[in-house]
Amino acid sequence: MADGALLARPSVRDVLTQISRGGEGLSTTVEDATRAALARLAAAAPMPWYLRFLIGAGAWVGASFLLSAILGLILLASGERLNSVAFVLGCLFIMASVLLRRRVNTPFLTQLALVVSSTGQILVIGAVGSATHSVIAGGISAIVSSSVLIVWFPDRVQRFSATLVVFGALAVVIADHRIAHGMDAMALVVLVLTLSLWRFAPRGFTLEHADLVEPIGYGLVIALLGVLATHTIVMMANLHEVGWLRLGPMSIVAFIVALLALAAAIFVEHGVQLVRVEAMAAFAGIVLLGAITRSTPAIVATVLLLVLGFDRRARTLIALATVFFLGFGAAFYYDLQLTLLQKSGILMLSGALCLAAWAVVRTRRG
Amino acid sequence: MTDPLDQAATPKRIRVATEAAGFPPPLARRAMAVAAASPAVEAWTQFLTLALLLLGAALLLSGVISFFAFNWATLGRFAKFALIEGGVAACALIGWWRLRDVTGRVALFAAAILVGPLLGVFGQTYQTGADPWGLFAAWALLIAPWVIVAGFTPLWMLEVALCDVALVLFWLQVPDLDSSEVLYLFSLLAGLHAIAGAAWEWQSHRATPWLSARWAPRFLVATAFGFLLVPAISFVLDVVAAGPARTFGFFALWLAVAVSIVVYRRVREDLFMLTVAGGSVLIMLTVGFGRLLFDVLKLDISGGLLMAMFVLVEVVVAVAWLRRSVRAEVE
Repeated sequence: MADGALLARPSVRDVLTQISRGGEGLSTTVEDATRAALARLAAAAPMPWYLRFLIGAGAWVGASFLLSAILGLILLASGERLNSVAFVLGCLFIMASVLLRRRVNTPFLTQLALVVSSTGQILVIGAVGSATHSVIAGGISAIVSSSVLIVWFPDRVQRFSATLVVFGALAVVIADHRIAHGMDAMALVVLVLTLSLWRFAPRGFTLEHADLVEPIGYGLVIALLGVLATHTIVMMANLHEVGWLRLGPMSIVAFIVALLALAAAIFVEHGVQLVRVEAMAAFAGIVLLGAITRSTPAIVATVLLLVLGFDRRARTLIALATVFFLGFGAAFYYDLQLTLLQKSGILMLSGALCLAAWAVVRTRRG
Repeated sequence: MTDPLDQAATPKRIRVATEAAGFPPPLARRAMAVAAASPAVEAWTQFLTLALLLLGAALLLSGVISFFAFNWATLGRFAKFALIEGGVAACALIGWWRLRDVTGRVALFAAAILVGPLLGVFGQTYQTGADPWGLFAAWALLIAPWVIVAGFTPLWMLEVALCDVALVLFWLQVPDLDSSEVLYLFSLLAGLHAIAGAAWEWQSHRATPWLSARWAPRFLVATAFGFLLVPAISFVLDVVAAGPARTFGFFALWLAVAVSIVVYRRVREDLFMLTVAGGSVLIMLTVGFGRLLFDVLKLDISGGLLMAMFVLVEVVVAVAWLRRSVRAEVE
């Protein structure tokens, strides 16, 4: 939605000039030293994504054969003690992969470490689940092993997927035990964590620990979109037998409050008083949007992600939010219990309102 | 070459820059905060106006489409033609008026899209009895002049997509083929994409290229390899009915690999294209070795271990070769 210029960050020169000597500019010596350091950083840039994809795909295909061979060997050798052997082996794999990943930086070895860690995690979760015949025990082992990997395995892909495993495990437990309001609780946890990590945590901390925060942040966003998609599918397909997977009023209100809080934080950062007409109009618009689209809370949630993405200049988040916003928007209109003629009227009215708002903002800007 | 100081201030660059400049920690933290600040008020306003404009236009257009969809059955044939032709003409006029900016090109794209429904209504009204492939072929043919004058990458990709659909429908409906010959379709689609990709590369060598986006030829070449892999894998695994189509696809794939390596190493260095060709080779080698171990030699656990080693080694060799193959890695 937003083009490159809109999302452009200030240049390194702009930032350094702004903070050094009251904006008088950098000395030639400092400029040269900085330029040389940045050139070295550029030269050491990671290889292109498609080459990394090729390496990653190769490592994963190789690992799947390795995993099946190892499982076959365990099956042959351990007999009755299959689960304990798988658990011990899984723990060893995780430990070995952590040690390996902390020592290597080449693409292939990092992928190998990733594969070994994932293999270890699968062995641990499978062994615990199979030995206890308990989804909760399996879920706990998934959450514990993922937490270990998030903290000690310094890899963005692993941290992203481990975050997804944590919330995937929670979702499985909720689904298996049909926990009432379980999805609401999960949505709330994901929402609070998402907003905290992306916007409200001290910026110095998040920037300092970007390698940890960013992949977890994207994992949380995907988990949130998963929860929203589940709710929308259950609602649209009238799946009454899994109706407890739907989000309730608690989540709907939470998404609206979260968007209000985000908007308020942005206004405050720009020194706009919250009682000014722009801020009040934005708050009123958010509440109105939330009230109208309450059957599809995903709309407010994806608007929240879109605003968050623009605020943090995160192109991937903007792209994800836009795609899901369009999907959920289409679902909302499709699901309205109205004739096509009535829907066309509502669509045209919504469009006219947006265009009127566009004209107002444009006039004020001019 | 861009001055490194003019690059965007990402956290990593700011960290490196403040260290190199010898800034004390409080100043470095301030630099980080400045780099990570929310976009300026002007940027927010621009973002908001753009979002509202796009959303408003999309909703209004959807409302109009829904309105006519509701009343479609009651509309007479002239009203139907007038509606669609009016849309085509309006979009084409906007395209003609603002051809050199994105508004005009998007309008021309919309006009090109509307030609399809127009042909559909024409066929429905006059019961032409034409095959569906003919509709897509005529659609592609009719929009070709717009595609040429617009110089707009998405419009070119629409043209290729229409040709693809026409070819698929023709191949499945017109010639009376046995099941093995259907596989020729993948080679034909690959050939179509290869021609489009070659045309793209040709025009990009002009003094003033009509189109400059690299994603389009890359997409065309990647999909061409994807199409060729279907008959080639089927040849190696001996699945799907035997016949010359899969043999042809198998050899066509190796020819495409050879041509890509020559072109994208010697004529125009492009690591992406080489990675696609290399990835196809890896897939073929893996499939072939897998068949040898599991189907011919009937190995089980040891086969899995050998396959794991084989895949890891081939990837290491391929990546080392790819990185050596181009002097400058093309992003």
